[in-house]
Amino acid sequence: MIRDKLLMGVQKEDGFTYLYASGTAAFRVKKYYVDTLEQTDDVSAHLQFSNLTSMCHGNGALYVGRTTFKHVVKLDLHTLAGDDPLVVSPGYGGDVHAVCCFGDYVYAGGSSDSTSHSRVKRYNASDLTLEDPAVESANFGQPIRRLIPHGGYIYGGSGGLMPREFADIIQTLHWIHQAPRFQIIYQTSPYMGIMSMSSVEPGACLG
Amino acid sequence: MFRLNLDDLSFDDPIVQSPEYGGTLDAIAIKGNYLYAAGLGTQRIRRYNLSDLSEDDPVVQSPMYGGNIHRLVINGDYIYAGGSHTQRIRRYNLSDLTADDPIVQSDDYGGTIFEMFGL
Repeated sequence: MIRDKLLMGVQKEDGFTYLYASGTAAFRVKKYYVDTLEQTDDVSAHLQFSNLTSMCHGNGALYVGRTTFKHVVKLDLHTLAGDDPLVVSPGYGGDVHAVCCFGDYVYAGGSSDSTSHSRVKRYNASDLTLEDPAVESANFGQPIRRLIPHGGYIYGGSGGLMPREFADIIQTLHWIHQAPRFQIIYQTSPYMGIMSMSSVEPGACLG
Repeated sequence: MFRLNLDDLSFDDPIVQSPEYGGTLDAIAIKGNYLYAAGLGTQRIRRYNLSDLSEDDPVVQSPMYGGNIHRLVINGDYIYAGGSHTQRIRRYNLSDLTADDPIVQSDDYGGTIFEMFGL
């Protein structure tokens, strides 16, 4: 019964050799041996004073969302090296808080510089270009905090850090996107502040 | 923390939800019959029963991480937490959320850890 449920959170299978970490201040992706938590020699270049908010991987590549430069960066999954020049997406239009990989695409969501444009945008995984015409979701209405692929859909969670008094007038949307066609189905759940999500299906989510 | 039906994103009636964590939740990991949650405020990992999101009595929880926890990853018999202030990955025993003595942890990441995954 639980398999058909969706919970907030992060889901992972285990049996790892490495842990990857990203964040603020260090501005690097670092890789650790899971048994000892010692850092490996594989470390990304200094990614230029931009918080690294989210990561996903597919086809041997690691995709990292950034704030200051407001785009997605592609690195080698194993060595954490980047091409020269670095492969980056066109600007998202705001801070990228969430990325997820699904098929041949990388999906990015975040908080837009324009409050009316918090959308999920789709980039080609190979070179992080946008399609022509660009494929993107409808306006989400709030910062998009999490994206997870599951069973042919991409689920998005938004909100968090919103003043409680707005709870009655702003609904945190919890919606579905059909991938890879990316036609919106758009079902919502009224709940404030979805910071994290997970499917109970093993391995479905990299939060 | 709450649970939604995957097909239509509806709540169960009554809503299946956990007791209050004590701060904003920012990380969840699931293994077996348990869900592990962490975040801001308590700075601890807490364990919930996956079937109904209830807590055991007494609550099974980790020692304080030393900062806000932004990510959890489970591997084998351990659960790993990353976050702010300590800025390290710390390892806890999955069975009871205790930490080894001395605690197994990474060097300082150099900033707040926002994201982790295993490979």
